[in-house]
Amino acid sequence: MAAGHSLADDLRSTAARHGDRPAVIDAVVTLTYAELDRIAQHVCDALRGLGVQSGDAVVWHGAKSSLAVAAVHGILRSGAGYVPVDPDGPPARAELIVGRCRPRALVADTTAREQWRTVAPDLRWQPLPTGYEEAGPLWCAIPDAAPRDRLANLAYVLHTSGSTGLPKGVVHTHASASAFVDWSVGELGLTEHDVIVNSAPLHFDPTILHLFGAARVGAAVALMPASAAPFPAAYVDFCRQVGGTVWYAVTSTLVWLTRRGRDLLPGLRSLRAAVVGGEVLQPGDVNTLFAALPAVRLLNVYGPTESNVCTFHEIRGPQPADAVIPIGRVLPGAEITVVDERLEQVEPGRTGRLLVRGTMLMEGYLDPEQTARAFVRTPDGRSWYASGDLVRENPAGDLEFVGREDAQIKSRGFRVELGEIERHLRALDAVHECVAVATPDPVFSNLITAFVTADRPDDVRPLPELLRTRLPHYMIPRHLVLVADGLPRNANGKVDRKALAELAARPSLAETPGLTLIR
Amino acid sequence: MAEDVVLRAVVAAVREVAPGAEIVDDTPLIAHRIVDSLSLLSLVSLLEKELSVTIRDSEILPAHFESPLAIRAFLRTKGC
Repeated sequence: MAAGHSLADDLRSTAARHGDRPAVIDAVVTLTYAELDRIAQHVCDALRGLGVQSGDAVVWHGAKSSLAVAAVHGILRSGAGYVPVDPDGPPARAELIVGRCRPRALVADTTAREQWRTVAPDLRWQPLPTGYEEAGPLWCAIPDAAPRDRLANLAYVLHTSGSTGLPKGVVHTHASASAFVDWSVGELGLTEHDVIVNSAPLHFDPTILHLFGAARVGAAVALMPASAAPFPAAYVDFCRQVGGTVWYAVTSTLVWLTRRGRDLLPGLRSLRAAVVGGEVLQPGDVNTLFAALPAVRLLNVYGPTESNVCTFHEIRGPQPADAVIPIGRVLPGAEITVVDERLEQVEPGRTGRLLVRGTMLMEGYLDPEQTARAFVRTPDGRSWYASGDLVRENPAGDLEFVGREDAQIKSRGFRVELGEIERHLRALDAVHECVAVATPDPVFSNLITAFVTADRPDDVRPLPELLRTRLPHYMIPRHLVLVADGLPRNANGKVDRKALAELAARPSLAETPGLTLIR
Repeated sequence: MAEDVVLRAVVAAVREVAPGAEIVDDTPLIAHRIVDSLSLLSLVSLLEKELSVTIRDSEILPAHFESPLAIRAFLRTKGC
């Protein structure tokens, strides 16, 4: 697509071509493209009436629903970029994200508005007309704080965990988002006859394909209710009921379905394409899927939120048990290179740092300092996003994921910086030292365990509740452990994270002398 | 009335998989997002171990896990 294409254009042109076709299916209603277009126009008009202009950031905070999708399209049509905030996260984290983002306006459903009343009682909310009041009201607030400068071509800002403890706002433009949507539409052959199954929350990047891939071609997007998503049987049932044809989810969802829903998988027979990414894909899960759905196309995609999907590999049929499933080859429009510590390209087969540039790449982070740290310049003078991922090229010329060069992990498909958890553990004065470690888990990639030291067990009793009020659910450690005799140290006197990770992996952790589980 | 030891075990298991959350007999586990995909599967494994019961994949349903009381009622159908 030519530069300058806007995500906001797709809904209007698709509504003109496919007005009667289903656009969004949720647990309650199905909106047609004509209806979605009309509601988005109401939201757009209301926001413009409040002074929202091109390049402004507008927060969306609310439950996932057809109305939420219409609100997102309405924000985009107003010229603003949308900033989705986790509706299930703690209000304090939403406040932190919004405080740093400095949006022109907030749009919320009633539940989210009530949360804001607890953390920001001075925000003044007014009804936002949608022309779709039967779905419940929307509310809008204009923060007192001066909004950030307008960002040219802003499409959306997604927040990921930050190693210093502060979430990072990843800024995508209409150009970078459209480049990814173009690839998705072309590679998956999306048409108006597709039903794209969405189980990710709106603040999570697979939704870019779900919402805007659908809007580009007139496909339907089916929003799985959050209450069904944790249950394999309910998950498969929803896909079956809506007749899902294309499915894009984090790898751990596939793993979880193959391990606890194997007999249910034939219920997904309407699927023609399954796309997974974000975590290492194992041959056993691939083979279970193909056994149930022999004709499905299975794509393993790779790409942090910062770059959208930038490499992919199509898996053609069952795999040997010891196969390493590659993350594959670069997408058209993206460029990658694998380099050593001096940023010089490594020989094929050698492990190195994966650098990314190209049309799908983010503009930067909201925080210029975070942006400066994330980009590097190779000896040829070109600027690249340093993904932090270690990869190597296999003899077939496909990339394989090897690991991380830092303390970032994936758990349940979510990206987690262990440093962000540690920052909140340290917030309790009684905590002397703390370390969060990850232990590999066959289903969820990693489980998090946090170790702390303190004078008395009673001093750290508030920690579980404190973490729940500050961190999203996927960042809460599975175990919080008080260590009686200080954290183990290596020869250099540094905390021995490896020893702690080994300790955390013990099934008998709770019975280990000197350790107390904090509940 | 004798204390329901199975219900106590269910509440204890839910507390174990959802550290920091306040759990009572009728806490809405799904509506309050206390149960997610990870904690649900951990909870199923824990219940299977603690109560020596086998829970089939097709039985892991929202209606069976809405609250500790709902889990208790479901386990009763399995003879617990």
